Amino acid sequence: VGTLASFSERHQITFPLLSDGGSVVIRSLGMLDEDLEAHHAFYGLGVQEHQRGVAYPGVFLLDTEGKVVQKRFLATYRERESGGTLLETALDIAASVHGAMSTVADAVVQVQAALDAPAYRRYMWHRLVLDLAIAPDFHVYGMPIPEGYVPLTLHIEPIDDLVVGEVTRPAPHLLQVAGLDEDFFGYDGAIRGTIPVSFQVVPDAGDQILSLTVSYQACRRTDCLPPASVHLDLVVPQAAAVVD
Amino acid sequence: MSGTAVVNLGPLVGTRFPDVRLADQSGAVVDLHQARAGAPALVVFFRSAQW
Repeated sequence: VGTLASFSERHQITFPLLSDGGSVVIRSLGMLDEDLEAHHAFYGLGVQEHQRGVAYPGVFLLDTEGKVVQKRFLATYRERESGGTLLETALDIAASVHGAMSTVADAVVQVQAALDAPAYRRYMWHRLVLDLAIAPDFHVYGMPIPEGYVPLTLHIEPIDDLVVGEVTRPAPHLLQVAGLDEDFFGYDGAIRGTIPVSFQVVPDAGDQILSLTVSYQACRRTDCLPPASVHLDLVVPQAAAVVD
Repeated sequence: MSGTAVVNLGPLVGTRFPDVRLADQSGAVVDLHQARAGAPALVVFFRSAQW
């Protein structure tokens, strides 16, 4: 309890942190991590005595009746979902904390990128949020797409130890393109894409730079512009280590 | 990498999460289902506040 008190004060935590001395509840729920040696060995680490008795790291989503509606566990114990990820994807609450933003615009699109936290924690699954605004009258294309056209894509320049998950974005809608009998799917207005990212780096890796390129082709009723792309860098600082 | 399938870890999907009463960071005993007060909740198992 004392440990939790100082921890929650330091991190300004306002939700209840519960202490399970002796791992009684963890055991009774079947959540005791019995594979601790294997988990630590995966990272080349031994197990220290005070580390025994921990639970498998995982998250249960309960509905209004208290029933389990979802379990969220990750492959290795070092990986975590960020608070922002949990709030947005499990509880459907827009997370209020965002990191530094980076914005770029050309004549047709404006792209704003931000992380779901002010700083990354290594191995945590953060969400990179991309907001794309398309100029009035224009649309950009999604998939499927007729040959010769360029769909909206995001490219994240690979960096060492950065793991990138699947992009989530709205489904494109059917576009009415006068004079053409092919089906076009695309976007207009504002759309938001989110991408899970995890920096599986060494402890003192420091700032990371996410180098993002959004490619698209924009058209309107009267004409189409050539394929184009915009580029932006998002600097993501590393969160300070948790040290007692 | 675990020998236990996630689906079998802890309470099963579709079942009521068992009653849990534990002390919080202020020392007060918290009853999970009472504290939810009829709202959905996330129960997060974390490894330690020390390491």
